Amino acid sequence: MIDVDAAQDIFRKSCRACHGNKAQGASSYPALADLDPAYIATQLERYRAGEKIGPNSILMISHAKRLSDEDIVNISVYVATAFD
Amino acid sequence: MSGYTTHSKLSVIASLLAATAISSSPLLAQSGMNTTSLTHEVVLDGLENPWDMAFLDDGTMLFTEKCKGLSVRMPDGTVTALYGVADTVGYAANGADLFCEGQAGMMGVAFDPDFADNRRIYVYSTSNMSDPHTNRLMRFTVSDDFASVSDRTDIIDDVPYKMAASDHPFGGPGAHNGGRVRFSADGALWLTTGDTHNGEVPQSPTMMGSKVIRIDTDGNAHADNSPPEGFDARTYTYGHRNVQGIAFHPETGQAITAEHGPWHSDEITILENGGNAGWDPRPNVAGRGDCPDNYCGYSPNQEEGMNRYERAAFMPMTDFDTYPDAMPPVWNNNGWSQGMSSAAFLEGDAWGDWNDAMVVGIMGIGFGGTPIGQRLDVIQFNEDVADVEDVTEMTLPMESGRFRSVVMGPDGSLYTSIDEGTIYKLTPGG
Repeated sequence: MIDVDAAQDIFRKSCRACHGNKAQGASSYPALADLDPAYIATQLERYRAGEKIGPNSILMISHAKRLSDEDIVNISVYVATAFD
Repeated sequence: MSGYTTHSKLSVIASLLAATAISSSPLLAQSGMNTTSLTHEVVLDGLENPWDMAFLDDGTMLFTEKCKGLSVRMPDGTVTALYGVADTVGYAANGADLFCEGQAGMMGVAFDPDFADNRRIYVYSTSNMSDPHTNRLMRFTVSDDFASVSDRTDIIDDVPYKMAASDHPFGGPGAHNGGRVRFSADGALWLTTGDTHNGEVPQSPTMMGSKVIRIDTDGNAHADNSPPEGFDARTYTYGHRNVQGIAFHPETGQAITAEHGPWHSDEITILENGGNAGWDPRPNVAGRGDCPDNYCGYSPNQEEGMNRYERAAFMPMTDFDTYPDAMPPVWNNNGWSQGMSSAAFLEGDAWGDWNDAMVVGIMGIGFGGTPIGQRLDVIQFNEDVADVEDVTEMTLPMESGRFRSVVMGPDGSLYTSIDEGTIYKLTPGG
């Protein structure tokens, strides 16, 4: 079971401002709500390792570096399912 | 990472969410200290990155969606898609040359002050008609039934566009286009532009990025513009970073901009004709050395958070050392950069103490320890309209968002769009 409260806290602090209040994407930031949780988790792991993937990598790396394995599980499942 | 099963997590979270469904009230009133009591209505929802709006006195509203196109919402609520980006389906006509990429696409929109007679509107969009591609200010004629537009004339076709990705935050193609289109009360047409992550653009006398442009409705320079010798005569001010907000004081007519800062210092500036906003991100200038891809805009440490004042000392938003006569900002968002985007003046007695105050939309970023800061701020100027007297965050009756555009409606309400896809109407008093 994921920790919904923890996921919501991460979402509000680190994701929502760019990806939108429902992870629907906004401006040049992509939608997340329709992605597979495993894919999101993999990308977050890559960002956390400092890998540059796209033009906003600098932003993502700074946020992902603060995430634990458990955080990544929580937020990946949350953004992909909470706004169905 | 291992040890979790996606499907089991999905079922668990689905049940949890069902039990704690979040609902939003359609109409709420909120009041508090030093805050005008507001109610809100959702005007349109489910849009794709709504970027700007413009109104006629009867409430007819033009709006743009960055990657889709231009539409009109009639006073009875019906919406007609008028001019689409590229091959977007459902529009009465399309601009095959228009496209969106990153921050670029269809942006600002304005009605001609003489619309009742000439049916003209103005729309700013990214176009691939030229190579390298550019941002263009297009003029159209709207049909009498508001079902279509015609007579496209590109009255400006040379605002730079960022063609290729660079090694910077937000470094993809299409960065920093400015994009607001507004008329001042005297009938002049204004367009704000951005630096396209190109260090040479802001102080360039001829590249039309990083400028506030003042023209007539044929695209000709305003006769009273007074930029330095050698500058393109359409230039009202230069040396900006990325201006997405411009509004005109209701009493004095002063042009006032709201501008994104570079990891620090969003700025509000009362413009001076011919003035320099003091942004110069070239490498090997002002004591700086080389910078990534010849643009120092996020230096010295573009990949990590750092003290905003130290960052500002290295790469100032307004460089008074190099340009002592630069226009001083009257507010810098307490040194933060949070994505200050748009500006409008509140007008009407219903706004109380905020009548004739300026409201700015802030989109929020939240990088490197910066508070995200999504909000609408009310900026009250002093009696001489020479400085800021007070700044108050609006207490919102709805959830905040990426406030891309703020526009006063003819009904005395403030309309605001958020990138997430909603246009709200905010009404004082409730």
